Amino acid sequence: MHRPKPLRFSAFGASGDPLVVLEREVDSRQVKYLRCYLHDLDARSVVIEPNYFDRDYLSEFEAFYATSAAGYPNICQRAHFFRENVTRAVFAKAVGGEGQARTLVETSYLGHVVIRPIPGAPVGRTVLKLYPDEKGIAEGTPRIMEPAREYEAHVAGLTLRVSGIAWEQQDSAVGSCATVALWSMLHSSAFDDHHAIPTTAEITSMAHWSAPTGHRIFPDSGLQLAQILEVIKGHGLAPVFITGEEGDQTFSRERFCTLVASFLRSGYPVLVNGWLEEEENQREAHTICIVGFRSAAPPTVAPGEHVLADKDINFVYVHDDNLGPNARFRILDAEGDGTISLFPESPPPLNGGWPTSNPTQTYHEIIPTEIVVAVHPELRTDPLELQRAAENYTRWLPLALDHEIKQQKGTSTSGMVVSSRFVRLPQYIEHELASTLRDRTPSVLSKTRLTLWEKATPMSLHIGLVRISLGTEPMMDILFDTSDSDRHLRPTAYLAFRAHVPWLLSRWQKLSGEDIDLGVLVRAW
Amino acid sequence: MKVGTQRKFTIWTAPASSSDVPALVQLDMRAPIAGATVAKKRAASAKLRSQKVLKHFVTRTSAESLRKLVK
Repeated sequence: MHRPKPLRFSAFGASGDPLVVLEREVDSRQVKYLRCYLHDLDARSVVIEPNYFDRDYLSEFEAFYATSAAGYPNICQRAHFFRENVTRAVFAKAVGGEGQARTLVETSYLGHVVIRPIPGAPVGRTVLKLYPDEKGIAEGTPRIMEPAREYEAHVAGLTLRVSGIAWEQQDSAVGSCATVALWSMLHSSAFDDHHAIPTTAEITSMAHWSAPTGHRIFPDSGLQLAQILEVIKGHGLAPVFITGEEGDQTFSRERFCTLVASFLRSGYPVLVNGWLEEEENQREAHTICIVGFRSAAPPTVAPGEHVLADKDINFVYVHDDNLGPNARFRILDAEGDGTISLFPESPPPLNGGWPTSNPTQTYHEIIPTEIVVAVHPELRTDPLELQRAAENYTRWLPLALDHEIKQQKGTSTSGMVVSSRFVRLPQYIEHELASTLRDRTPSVLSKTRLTLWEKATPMSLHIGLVRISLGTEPMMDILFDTSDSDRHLRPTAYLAFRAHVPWLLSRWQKLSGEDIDLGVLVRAW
Repeated sequence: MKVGTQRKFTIWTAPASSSDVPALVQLDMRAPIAGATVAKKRAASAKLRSQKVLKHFVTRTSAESLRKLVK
């Protein structure tokens, strides 16, 4: 029988820190990674719940461990990490409602790690805060983590909140790396209103029910990509499956970066399958989940030209079950043949030397060959088709502007940047427009919202959004209905943020003879 | 140039007086239309260049990929 046990309190990195204990017991890349990551977050203390029932582990227990003669318990530990020194005395005050102590505990919370009673794969569900990003924001290259969601941990009447996406170490009894990547992907905030998040054991079981391969279910022997797609469908979502377009299905930088960034900006994590390059001439198939990326500085674009946004991003943030959560990988064309690989590259230690060897320094490169994304089933537009539409419906604007400037002998200006993504219509109208138009008078926002609501053809819940910007200033948003087939993909409406846009459109059509139908004009100036 | 962060949204935006757009606001919107021949040529040339970009956005799937086993 389980027995009550008191909470334990320890300094981070001291002998009572469960990660220190684990590292002594097993040579685990994941434990080393977590210690380095938390050190960079400036963790100072840890509070351990010695008795914690974890939903995911209970599911694994039911599927596999309950019938093992080894006698595994069904209970875990959960370790909570803090940036301040949270002692029993401080914690007791916080639990009693003492304001200052409560604020200290809540605001210094860095996240939690569930520790399973499985010696071979002890690190269970883990949610940790991201590194601070003040520098990226100040430099105009913020980290984009749109899929992140808020998790709550309840301890003795305290609610501790952390934003991120859950990660866990692969437990080969009940899942493969693909199972864990898929599990993380289904945690995205994009699906908050859609479905219950499955456990890893449920994912493995569903994969074998819906796309049988003849292999046994448990212990898990791996998943085929077709099974991953079936699991996504089984959870009421729609799978998007895209391969690389270069030799051996590798990706060009342009295709990989623009697609990954577009999905992440839309709130969808990206599951990447590829080759993990181990020893020389040795590779194995591996799957990871990309949860964010570092945006690149605005590109320099020649007058009259346009480029695709995000094609020059250099870093993605990856949940890799072999390594840990939010691991930074650099996107590189290492071979110089125009195809890309992902190389692990942690930032330098932020708070003095790391407490143990950082495994990202010896981990291997990954060569992406396929990407899989779960999207809402109502969203029927192929993201590649939206990118094609973005190219086709926007290239006239920088040309028209440059033409008029030359004709009027004005000051030359730069070219433009084109981006595409999916967004929920209410989110676009409520948040995106408010943010884009926040420097204009309230009447502009009001007129824009009402015109969209009253004059534009009724639109789908999820819209395709194509934005073209001059430097950093949005010029025009083109909205696409995503509930029809790609054959019928055409603009529903376009929002011009300056009066020059419809003026340039009208003149360019007369000058070039091009017929450009962008749908209903919404005057957002 | 500045970056605005609103809730989870992080988007590019700039004040109306952004130095990125002076040429735009200086344009005379009542100027006569001119340069049709040049415009037609530039439109055709841009369309050709687009074809190169679009080749990266062709959908491809393969039965071999779907059978790949990931452990």
